[in-house]
Amino acid sequence: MDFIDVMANARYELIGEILGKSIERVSKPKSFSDLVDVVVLDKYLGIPIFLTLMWAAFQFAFSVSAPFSDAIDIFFTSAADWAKANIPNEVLASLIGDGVFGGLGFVLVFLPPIAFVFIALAILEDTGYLPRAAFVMDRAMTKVGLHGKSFIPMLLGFGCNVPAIMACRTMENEVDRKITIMVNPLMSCSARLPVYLLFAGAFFAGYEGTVIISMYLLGIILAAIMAKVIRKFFFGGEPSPLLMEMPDYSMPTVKSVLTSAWIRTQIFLKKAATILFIGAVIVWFLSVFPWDATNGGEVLENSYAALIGRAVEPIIAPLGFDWKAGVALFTGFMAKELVVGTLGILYGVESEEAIIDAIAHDFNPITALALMTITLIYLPCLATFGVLKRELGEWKLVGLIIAYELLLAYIVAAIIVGIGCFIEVM
Amino acid sequence: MKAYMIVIFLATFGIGSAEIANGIGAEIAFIPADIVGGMAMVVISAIFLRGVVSEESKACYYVGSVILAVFGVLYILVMLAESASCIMAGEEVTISVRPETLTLLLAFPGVLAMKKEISIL
Amino acid sequence: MRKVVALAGNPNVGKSVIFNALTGARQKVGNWPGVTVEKKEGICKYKDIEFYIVDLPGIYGFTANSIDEKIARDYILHEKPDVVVNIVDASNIERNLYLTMQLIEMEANVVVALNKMDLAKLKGYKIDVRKLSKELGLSVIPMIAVKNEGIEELKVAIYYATKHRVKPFLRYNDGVERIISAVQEKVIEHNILSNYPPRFVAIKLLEGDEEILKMANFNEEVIKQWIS
Repeated sequence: MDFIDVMANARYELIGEILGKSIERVSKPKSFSDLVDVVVLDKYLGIPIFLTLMWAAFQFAFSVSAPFSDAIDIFFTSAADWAKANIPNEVLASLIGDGVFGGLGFVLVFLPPIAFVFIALAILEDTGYLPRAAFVMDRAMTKVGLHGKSFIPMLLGFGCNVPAIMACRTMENEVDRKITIMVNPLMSCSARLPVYLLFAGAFFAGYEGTVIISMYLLGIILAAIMAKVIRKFFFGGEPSPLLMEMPDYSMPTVKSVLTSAWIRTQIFLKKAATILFIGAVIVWFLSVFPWDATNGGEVLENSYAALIGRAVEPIIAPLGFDWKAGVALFTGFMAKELVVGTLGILYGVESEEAIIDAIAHDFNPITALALMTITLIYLPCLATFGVLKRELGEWKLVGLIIAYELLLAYIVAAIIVGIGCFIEVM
Repeated sequence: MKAYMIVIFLATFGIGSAEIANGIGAEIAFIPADIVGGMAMVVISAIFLRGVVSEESKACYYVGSVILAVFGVLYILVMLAESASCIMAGEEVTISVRPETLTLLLAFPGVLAMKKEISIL
Repeated sequence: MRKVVALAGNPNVGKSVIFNALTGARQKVGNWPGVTVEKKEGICKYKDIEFYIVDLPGIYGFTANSIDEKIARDYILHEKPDVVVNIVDASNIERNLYLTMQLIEMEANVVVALNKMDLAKLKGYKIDVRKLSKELGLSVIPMIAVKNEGIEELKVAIYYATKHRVKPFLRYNDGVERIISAVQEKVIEHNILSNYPPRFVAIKLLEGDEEILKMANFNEEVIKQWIS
């Protein structure tokens, strides 16, 4: 026997002695948690209950945060108008009005839903429900080639893929771990939310919640498919069995939930203050310079941004997108929130209604869905890219991820556009 | 308790199916059209049904009541949020009261009974 | 005067709640250097002392295998915090005390925060805290962190611990102790890793801990020879 086992036994032996003298087992009632688990972990009710609770969480996050988003929107719109009317220097006025308030402010409108998602997540965590959800989903996940323990990293991916991928370190089996990491970017992170909210709001008013949750589900389904495919062609083997600890249920405290949510939201805010701010300024720059050619940003077609967009256009034109979408997707590599920030700047408008009108011009419900899907799938953002390299080690695997994501994004978008056209023809 | 659970089952199943039906074209009065929301109610009704026909009545009663309460509170919050949005846009406040806010009342006995049991233990 | 207090314990024992209760708004979140693991630090003032509180990642042991365990272990061994508050889940006490055993081996200045006392009661356990404290040789503070019970008593215990360092000695069974002593003698004799407690070094060498073996520059064969 290894000495490591000898030591472990020795420690437990001593613990047993100590506890023998200090603890008395009075009675063993069936704990409350066990009682609840009878229903929550039930073979048939488990998954429906899980889906129902997830849906409630999303409804909460989107619907209840709306007035806060409205308030922020009003603030930034007024600020942008003020800047453009009151700053004498034209370039500076444009920078602050369109670039900062327009681009960055536009992204911040989506802060409330993100914060509320984190609140919902914190509540689920603190009640102790998450391990049950993992257990319930394990059966389904194993069929797809994923390990039950990957459930929580996958769930974290809904917040941000970076900590989610790092959370995969808890998985002992290397193959399970690698596969989970490789499909994690398909979990729709909170940075993609602004894109969904914008397009769902513009084209599917009244059904935003359903459309958005479909995007999340699509991500999950694609992750499942890719996990199976990757396992089959690159690794082989079956996922290892699940062994998990279930803490007791407890009542979440307001303080603890708000603290958790605040900490995670803070990360988003920090990102906003740094990368997104810089990104917005860069995009603004690209879209209003050369200044004379674009007449202070009005004739967008003559800007540097247009140049970039046109370079990408041939690839995305078959899907029904123009160069503006191309630029937006391009900036999405830095940070997914920039897709929306860029659109805000490119369309030269700041308020939500105005941009919805502008977008309605260049997109239709089908291309909107296609764009949302591309945003979901196409590339990991810079930060995720860095983490992927670090956690996977081999460039080969990272390259594989980029390749499959680009391909998959294009294919799925094409399918959506195809189906859309088909329906139209009917 | 089982009799009460039957009542809740009928109420939630009724509301849920009505919402689904409205979602695909029917026009039942006082009920919103919401396929997914309706499905959620149907799932809740399934929990209570399970409690009625099987051994684990108490567990189903508690869990079902809690989830029903969660939805009730959720829709109240949604109502408040919608009102707030209306106020900010300067429009009239038009409140759409969902039936789930009323079923919240049905959930109270279960939740209270559960709290009592926890504190006794 | 400032003293460093580290919070250590298994995941899900209520560490965050206790951390928040102690530090309130005076906390900041960052990362442990070089990794993407969250690091929480905060301040708690008590009488004439300012506790600088560091929340270590939740762990089950101190091997060098997972990044969380490595962070916690390095922090305790190198930074040598003045007090280590070991948060133990009373309703899962057997498993939680495993970490406590190892903290004692590392000769950390431990105060045990025995949390979730209500849950333990629910499970049918009756814990004699005084006896437990005596057996362990450490202060044990019963708490229900989510209800804010025991926080003040914990602060008192931490305060006391900063003034009086405890060094409990727990003896394992004779067979194991014999082997440990043999290696411990060699460790002292050859002055191996003298900045760490010799008993700890001995146990780690015997367990074949990669990091300690590398630092001490010995391999397993040599250790095996010592015990035979």
